[in-house]
Amino acid sequence: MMQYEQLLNQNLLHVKPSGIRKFFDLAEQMENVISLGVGEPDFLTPWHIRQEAVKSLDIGKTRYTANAGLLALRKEICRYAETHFSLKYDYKTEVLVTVGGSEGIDLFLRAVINPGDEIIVPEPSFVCYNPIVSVCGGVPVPLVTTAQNRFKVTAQALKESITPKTKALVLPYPNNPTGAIMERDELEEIAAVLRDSDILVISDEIYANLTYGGKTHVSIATLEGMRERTVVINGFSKTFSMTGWRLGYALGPQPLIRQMTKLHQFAIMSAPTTSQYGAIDALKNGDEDTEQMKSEYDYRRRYIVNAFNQMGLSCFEPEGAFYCFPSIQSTGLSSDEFCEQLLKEKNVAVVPGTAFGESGEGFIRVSYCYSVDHIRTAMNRIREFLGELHHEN
Amino acid sequence: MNEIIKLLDAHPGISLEEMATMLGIPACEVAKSIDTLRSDKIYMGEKAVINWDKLEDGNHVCAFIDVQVQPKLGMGFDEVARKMSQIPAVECCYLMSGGYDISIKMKGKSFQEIALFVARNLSAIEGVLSTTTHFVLKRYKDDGILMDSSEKDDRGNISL
Repeated sequence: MMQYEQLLNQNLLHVKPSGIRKFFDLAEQMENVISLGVGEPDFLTPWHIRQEAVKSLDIGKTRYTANAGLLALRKEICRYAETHFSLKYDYKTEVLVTVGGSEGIDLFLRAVINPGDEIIVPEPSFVCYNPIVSVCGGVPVPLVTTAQNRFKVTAQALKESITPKTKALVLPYPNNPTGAIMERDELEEIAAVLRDSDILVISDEIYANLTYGGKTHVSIATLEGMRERTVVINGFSKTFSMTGWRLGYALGPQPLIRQMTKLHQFAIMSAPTTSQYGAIDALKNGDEDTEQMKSEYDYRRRYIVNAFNQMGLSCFEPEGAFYCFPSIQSTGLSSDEFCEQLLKEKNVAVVPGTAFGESGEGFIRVSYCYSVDHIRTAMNRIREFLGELHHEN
Repeated sequence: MNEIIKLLDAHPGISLEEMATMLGIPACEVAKSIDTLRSDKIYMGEKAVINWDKLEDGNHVCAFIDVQVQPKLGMGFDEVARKMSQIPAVECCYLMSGGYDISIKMKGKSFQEIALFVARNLSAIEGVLSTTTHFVLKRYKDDGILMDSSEKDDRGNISL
């Protein structure tokens, strides 16, 4: 009899599976669900990008690329990062094309963590950081953000989280699940805390192109003294609706990118070639598509936030990504209870805030990657659900 | 592009209040803008997109007719085009560049009905030199909507 528990990586074994797995399984099994639970764009990849990828296959571009990615793609990434976000990197040594932004996060954390190192992870946030940190033998240190401070990392909270063991800060903005962004003055305060330290930053900017209300994304790497300690993660999934293409990139100082590339070289070899050819076209010709999608998301954002506020579920105004994060505390239900009852009684799926950390309790994550008709139907059902809940009480 | 036009184009049937919310402006402002768009003949109304092929009663034939016209002094093609536009069965009437002058889209109950209509009515209009009728055999996309798509949202119910 194999003793798997003894054979497996003990760090991995002790990573807790998500507590809301049961709810996820339930949601996935149910049919005819009106879902607002998906974290990927409803738009298809723009046609011209798909065409360029097909064209690359037609002319036989089917081999591995350079480990760091096609040179032409790395050049385009650098041009795009500079024109859109004022980020300046050398395409030969400071860019790595990865399998989605997720691989970039994994590579960075594996490249920098020694056993016992602490990584500060804001909460609520995307779910991948803590498990990877733990598997690497690091210690995730939650930095709780709240609706009162608009789910932003404050200098004070950061100072309180720093210890002599702190290796890096994860900065996931614009944020999934809250839709919060960090503005320049707020980032300056964070930079002031980090500038004279040896703490690294991994700035997960996968939603950087999706900011609203006239706000534009600022990368912390553009602030004085921050470039040398920051790795920027971005990708094609959200900006160009290319989730299934699995393509992202990391930008950072050569000593960090070199080590990340080494790991990538051994584990992956190179990101998918067809995707890389599509991505070159996305960066060259995709701005108009991104603007159109962003404008549509913005309509839906206003619509959905207004609907939640009107039905008495107060919703902080998200300024980025494509989620809103209304509070359900007024119902007296926990996040899990709310989501499970809503699913069972009205066939509407939303994600409990607790999926993104304990501090997500009292909130639900609602995606607006759906048509207005779909959102309208879901909102009507949630309104009915609340009415019946109120009536029962 | 005007934001209201963009919304009307992308979300037909949307209410004034919804538009106001989505644009972050008062509903009265939206109403005023729409009135202006109507009076300026920019916003001409909304029309449902029907997949007539699905009705399967064989009564919904559609044709495109290329018409060559002798332009009239001082009027060009306008006089003939306006006359054609008055015919209720004519759904669309455009002045075209290229090998013919006017393109007509019309609907009828049968191929024969349309063919006879073209021969007896359209061709008989003064100034019409020739017509070429193309019948629609199958609709794949109408007004930006895929007609024979079996595509479903394959994203599942939940992903983080």
